[in-house]
Amino acid sequence: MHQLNMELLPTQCPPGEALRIYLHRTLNFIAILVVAVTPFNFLVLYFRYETFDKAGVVNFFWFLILAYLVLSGVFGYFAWSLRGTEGAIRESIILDKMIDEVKQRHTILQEQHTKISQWLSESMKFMLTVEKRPSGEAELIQSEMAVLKQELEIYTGLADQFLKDYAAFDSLLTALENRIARFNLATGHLHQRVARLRAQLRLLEMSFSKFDETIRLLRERFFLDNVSGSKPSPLGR
Amino acid sequence: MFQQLRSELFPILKSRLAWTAANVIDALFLLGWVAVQYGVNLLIERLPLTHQFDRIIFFIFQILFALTTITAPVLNIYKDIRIMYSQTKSEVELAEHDKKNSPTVKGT
Repeated sequence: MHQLNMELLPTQCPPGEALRIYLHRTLNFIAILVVAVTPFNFLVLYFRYETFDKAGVVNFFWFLILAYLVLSGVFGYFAWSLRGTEGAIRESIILDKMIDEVKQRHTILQEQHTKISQWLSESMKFMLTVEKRPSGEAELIQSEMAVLKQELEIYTGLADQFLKDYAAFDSLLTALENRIARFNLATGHLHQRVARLRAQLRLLEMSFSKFDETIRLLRERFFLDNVSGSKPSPLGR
Repeated sequence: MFQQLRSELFPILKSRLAWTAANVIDALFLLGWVAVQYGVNLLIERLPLTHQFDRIIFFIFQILFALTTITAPVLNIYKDIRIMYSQTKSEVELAEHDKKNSPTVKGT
């Protein structure tokens, strides 16, 4: 994450990253040399005109043009590929930060899930003994159910937000993966980073699907009057 | 004692080694630039320049060529120096912060 924020020297970065930076610098240097030396070639050609025979000069001239075009093409390709790599690395860094946010939302959801589960298990115990209790406690049960309904509403709101974040992150990650495939960016560091992000996302997805299913079942069981937001998880891929 | 010395010295040595390596690599780029200028100079000397005007043209060219090609190494050196400066600044700020928060200073 440090290679772009000007906090570390290239020699303080991981070896692959340091190599990439120095390769970039060398190519820059050579590209400037090539561009700057071209007018010099023509100057030399002009001043040595008298020493060449005419056919030789013409051949040399075309050779220079061709060499210049080939070199420009080669350096252009390198520049394009490096640019693509840098862009992809920058995007993956942003995604690294984004997945932390997605994880945070997931944690909040999990906490809410735990809260609901605990509440339900206590309520279940309470309700199992309800027949033995005085009729006056019916109101208490109702109020507890109202609290549960409220908690479920909070959960639904949080889950919706999580799903939105998840979808946004998923589409960004897919775009990055496509970009890597298009540019054919064979940098192991970048591939590892993206693969790690995808694995993390998959774990979050699995975890979410698991506890969302539990909540859905509970909701169906206790609130057949259709609690808002009781929809199937769109994560089922 | 040895362990403590090692744990304190090792990060500093590592950091200074990275600085040195970065400077050496930057110097190599400069050396490359010098070599290119030397080559250009040799080539110009071998040209049959009979008129004063031709020599002036090549002299101007040499200056322009030298300035253009030194840009990349100089900018890289500048970038690295800025990073080293910011690292030193952070170290100083950290040391000042530690000094301020040390119990002896607080007590006085």
